[in-house]
Amino acid sequence: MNKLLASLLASAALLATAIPAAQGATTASNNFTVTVALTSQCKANNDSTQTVDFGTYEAFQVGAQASLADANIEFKCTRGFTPASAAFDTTNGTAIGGGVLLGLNYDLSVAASTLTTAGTAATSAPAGIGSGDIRTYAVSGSMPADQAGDCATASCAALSHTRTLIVTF
Amino acid sequence: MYKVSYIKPTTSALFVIALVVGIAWPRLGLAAQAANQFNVKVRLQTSAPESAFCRSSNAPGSFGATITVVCATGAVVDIAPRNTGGMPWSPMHGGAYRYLFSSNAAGYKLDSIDDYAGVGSIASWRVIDLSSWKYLEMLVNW
Repeated sequence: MNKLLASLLASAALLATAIPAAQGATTASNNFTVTVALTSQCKANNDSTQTVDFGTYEAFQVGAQASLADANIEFKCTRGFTPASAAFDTTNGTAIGGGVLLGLNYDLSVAASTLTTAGTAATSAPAGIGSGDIRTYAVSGSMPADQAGDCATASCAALSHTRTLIVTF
Repeated sequence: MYKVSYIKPTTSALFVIALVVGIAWPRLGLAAQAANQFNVKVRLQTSAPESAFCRSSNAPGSFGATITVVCATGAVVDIAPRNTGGMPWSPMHGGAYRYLFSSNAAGYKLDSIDDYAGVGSIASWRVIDLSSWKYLEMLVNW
């Protein structure tokens, strides 16, 4: 009787040991950290050439000439990020917007940027990278009155030159 | 031995400084920039496009006379006569003129039909009955 009990107990012990492995896989976890630093950026985004168009200026005209069409300069920026400042190139004028075209002095001004298109957030899905904010700077201009200009004939065809808006961040 | 122990700390210190500066440079040094180009355009006109009001010295029938044309804009205008159908050229140049319209009938001046004086157009006709030498004159403005 004692032998029988001893063998039953031994069998039960073996079964108890083997059951966890036979029923399902066990898991074990271990934490780790994902880290990244982000440097905010902006880059030019215009699809077409923007133009500040002063139209036709009549020499010695009485009133100042405001630009007939303004330029909307777009930058694609890191979501939520706004560049600190904006200035113009010094190749064809001054950083504050001064310039000369056909012998006519003009002044450009740039308004504070507006968020024209908010970027979409990234997702965990494959290639779910989202998109950046589109920030637009409206550039307008004005020509002072009573300017002579440079033109050898009764009228000179429209002339243009390239300016650059530079944002700093 | 002295030299070696002296050089090693110096080199290490320089390396650490260079490392710190290298990491901090993007933030401490020049700020980042982005640039986008656009055009500035203008057309220059040195004279008025058209002259509406000009006056000339009147020299009727004088062959070879010099006629001076003065326009409000100061611009020189073309004074070549158009095809006048054999009629003498009237020394005037285009434009619209101010006038006060009044009407007459049988030698009597009637009341003013329209006291407005300003720019506009005017046309006149005269129909003559040759048998009786009666005149019908018409003056229209608008």
